[in-house]
Amino acid sequence: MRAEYVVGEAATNLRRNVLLVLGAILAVFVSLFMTYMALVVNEVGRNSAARWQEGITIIAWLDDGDLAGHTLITNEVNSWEEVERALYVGKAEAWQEFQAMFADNPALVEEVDPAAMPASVRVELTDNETHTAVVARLGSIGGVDGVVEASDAVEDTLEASRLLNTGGIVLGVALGLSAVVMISNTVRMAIYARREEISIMKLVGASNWFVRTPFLVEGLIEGLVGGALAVLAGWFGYRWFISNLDLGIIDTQVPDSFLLSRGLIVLAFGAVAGAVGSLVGLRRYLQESR
Amino acid sequence: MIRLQGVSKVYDGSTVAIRDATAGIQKGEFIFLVGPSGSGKSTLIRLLMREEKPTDGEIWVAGRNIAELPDWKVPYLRRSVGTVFQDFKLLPNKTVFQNVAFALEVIGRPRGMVVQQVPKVLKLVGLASKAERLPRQLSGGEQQRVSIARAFVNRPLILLADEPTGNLDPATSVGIMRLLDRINRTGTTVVMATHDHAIVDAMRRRVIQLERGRIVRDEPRGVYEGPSPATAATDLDGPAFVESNGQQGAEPVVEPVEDAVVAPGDADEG
Ligand SMILES: Nc1ncnc2c1ncn2[C@@H]1O[C@H](COP(=O)(O)OP(=O)(O)O)[C@@H](O)[C@H]1O
Ligand SMILES: [Mg+2]
Repeated sequence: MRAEYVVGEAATNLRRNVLLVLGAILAVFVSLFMTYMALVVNEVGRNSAARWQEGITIIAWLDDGDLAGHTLITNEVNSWEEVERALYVGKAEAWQEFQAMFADNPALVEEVDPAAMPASVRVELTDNETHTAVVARLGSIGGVDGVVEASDAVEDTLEASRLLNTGGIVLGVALGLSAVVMISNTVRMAIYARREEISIMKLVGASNWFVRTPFLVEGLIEGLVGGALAVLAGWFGYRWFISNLDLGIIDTQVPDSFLLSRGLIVLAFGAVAGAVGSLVGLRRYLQESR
Repeated sequence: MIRLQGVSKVYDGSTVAIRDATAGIQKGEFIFLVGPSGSGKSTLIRLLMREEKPTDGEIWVAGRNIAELPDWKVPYLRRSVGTVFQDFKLLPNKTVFQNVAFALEVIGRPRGMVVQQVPKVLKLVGLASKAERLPRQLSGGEQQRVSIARAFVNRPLILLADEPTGNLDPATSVGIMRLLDRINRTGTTVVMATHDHAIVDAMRRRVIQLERGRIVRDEPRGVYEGPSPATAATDLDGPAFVESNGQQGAEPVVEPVEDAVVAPGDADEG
């Protein structure tokens, strides 16, 4: 069976039902876009979680003072009664943390000078009511460069990312199922439009796979096109999002290698959705052809 | 070539279309399958091409029991069994050439073979000059010839024809019968279901008569009406052909009324 024959027949099928086919591609696109974004948001959440560990709600970035000065500050903060614990994270530790966070992006790690990593004091409060007061007090200490707070913003964002993540996957799967159904419908329509030809093909002895392959390829094309659009939209959409919106505290950087590897997975999902859709669409035909 | 052994076909668990049929058909024979409407002619044709599976019995075609043939092998059986139907089953958007070529293309025959074989077969059926026409630009008889060309282009061992003249007027039917006869003379076994008395009576080939699914007569060089007068009485659906029974012996079939299909010179072609 020649490839050009198969692709040609599949293309004819696709052209014959443009609207239905576009609908199926759109369904694949939306479903896989959700899935792709859920994967990215999950990664963002994972990165942020590394810094905002359990209980830590405030980070005070320290200036380039020496260890003695830093220890002094840490001890002082520890002595405050509103503070449950104050954790010192030195330059070296911060560097390690950074490396771990971006382990899958060596290029970025290489670009950053370890010496430029700021030391910090990470604060867990006894009582979150005192939050604002502690932030102000930390800011007034000499040697503190800046204070960032997990406060509600971070908590909310992390919570939102978790929700988005779960919701995205759930929606992605649900929409994925509907995409499969829509692909199977386009295949069924194409089979219907070609029922005469198919019955004659069977009459003169065309093998089952010869009859089926163009329809399989049709579904596969729909799935792959939808998947490719999802990856493109997800990739550029995400890049646009992080360059135009500053979430500040949350670390929104995700390396290209991550986007690429997950993009390939998403594309594979598209292919699977297409294949499953056409097999479902072909099922009735398969049953008929005893 | 074909052997039926105790074949029965029951539809939906109740309609018995074929009852305990046993018969043998040699390579190169020409068989008329006759009987009134509903007697099981089409069912037998469908069993022979494995469109249906028998409920019981064995059907041997070219050395294989096709009752047991696995589904995926059916396409390969179909390549050695050509089929022709009353309604032609041509693809309306394809030309005559394309309709015939289709049968070779979809079984993966190379292009070179297609362009070589299709004109040959079109010439055989007398349509060489109409290769680029669409089916709707042809008469019924010509359309049936295209369908015969399509069935024959792959040089099948067996040609099954289910009332191939059922939609055609008597004169046109004559041309189709000459063509089938000619194909038969190339060595192809032909099994033709019909209730066209005139054709059967004029051709004098082996007649297998069905009655409510049972083979009631199997006669070499037979005529349509068997010795039993009951047979004629049950045939309610014969075409408007009864009058030709009155002029029996005039051999109307032998005289080509339509354009001559068979030129004596190329009788062995194909
Ligand atoms: N697909 C089918 N399902 C159920 N009954 C059928 C089917 N095809 C044929 N029959 C029945 O089987 C019997 C034989 O039909 P058929 O083989 O078409 O006879 P013929 O071709 O001689 O007219 C009839 O009673 C018909 O109603
Ligand atoms: Mg019939």
